[in-house]
Amino acid sequence: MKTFSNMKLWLLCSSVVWMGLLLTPTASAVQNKELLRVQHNTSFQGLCCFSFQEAVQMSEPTTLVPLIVTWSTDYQATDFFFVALSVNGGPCIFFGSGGLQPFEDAGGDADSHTFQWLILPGDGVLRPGKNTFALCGGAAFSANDTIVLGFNTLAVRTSK
Amino acid sequence: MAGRIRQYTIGLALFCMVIGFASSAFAVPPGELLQMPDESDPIGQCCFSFNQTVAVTEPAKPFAVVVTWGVQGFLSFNTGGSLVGLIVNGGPCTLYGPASIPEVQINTSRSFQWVIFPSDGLRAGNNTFTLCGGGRFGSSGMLLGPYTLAARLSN
Repeated sequence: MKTFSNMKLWLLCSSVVWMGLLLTPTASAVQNKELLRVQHNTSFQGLCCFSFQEAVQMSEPTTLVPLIVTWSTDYQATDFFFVALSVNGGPCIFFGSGGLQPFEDAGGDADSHTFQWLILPGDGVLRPGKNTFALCGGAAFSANDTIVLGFNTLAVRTSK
Repeated sequence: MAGRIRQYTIGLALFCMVIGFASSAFAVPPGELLQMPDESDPIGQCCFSFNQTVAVTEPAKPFAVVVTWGVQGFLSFNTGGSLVGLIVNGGPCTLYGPASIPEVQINTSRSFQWVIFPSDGLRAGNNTFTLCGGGRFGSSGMLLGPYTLAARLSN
């Protein structure tokens, strides 16, 4: 009987340890979801607006706070392109500046640009808990226009 | 009398300790921000150090660091443009995000955001981030206007 109690105690302890181990990587993973770094080139073609397949996440408290999303990128573009954000799977919306000038260079040279977008609780797209911010956009004038996104970073943080 | 002096000394010591802790708590950690008010002209093929460094102090379990470089106007003479990156803790010059300054850009201010993860070699304690770069293909130069370099923990 005593052996059975010891076994129950051992099982309880090991369960607590395993729960702790499971929760620890979750906590650090949340941190990394707020920051994204891309170190390869990806080509996109088409009129605005479609997903550029990059996203970051931020957890909001019950009382929503403003968020700042910053995207910094190298690029080449055959014509003028728009870039914006889709929040929580919603439409592609401009939360600030969103134009990329054409830049082409056969020798491999690229241009660079940084955007800062501010999303306020009053915009009606934020919600308590997990929020997703996906990069979106597309060509301004022609479906044949192409943009190559080079090395870039996407980051979301609270405004405090 | 001696007791009163002892009380006064202890009180003064406590007061100094409080002031010391308060100032260290509110002071901006040195080295996280750098302002370069003058023009500079780094010349050479990528990659070499621009000798401008910021630093952050990481806890025992390091957080990711976001480094931002904002430069007010520049002229890149390099055929194929120039690249700009970071030397983290004395390692190689690495591109932690966008890096390109196109050829012959005059007075076009811009900024770069770089993300350095703990797996990139961050460690507990002091971590340094030094601006580096140079010509993409050749060894001609660029003229940088005033710039700022800032590092912050992502916690």
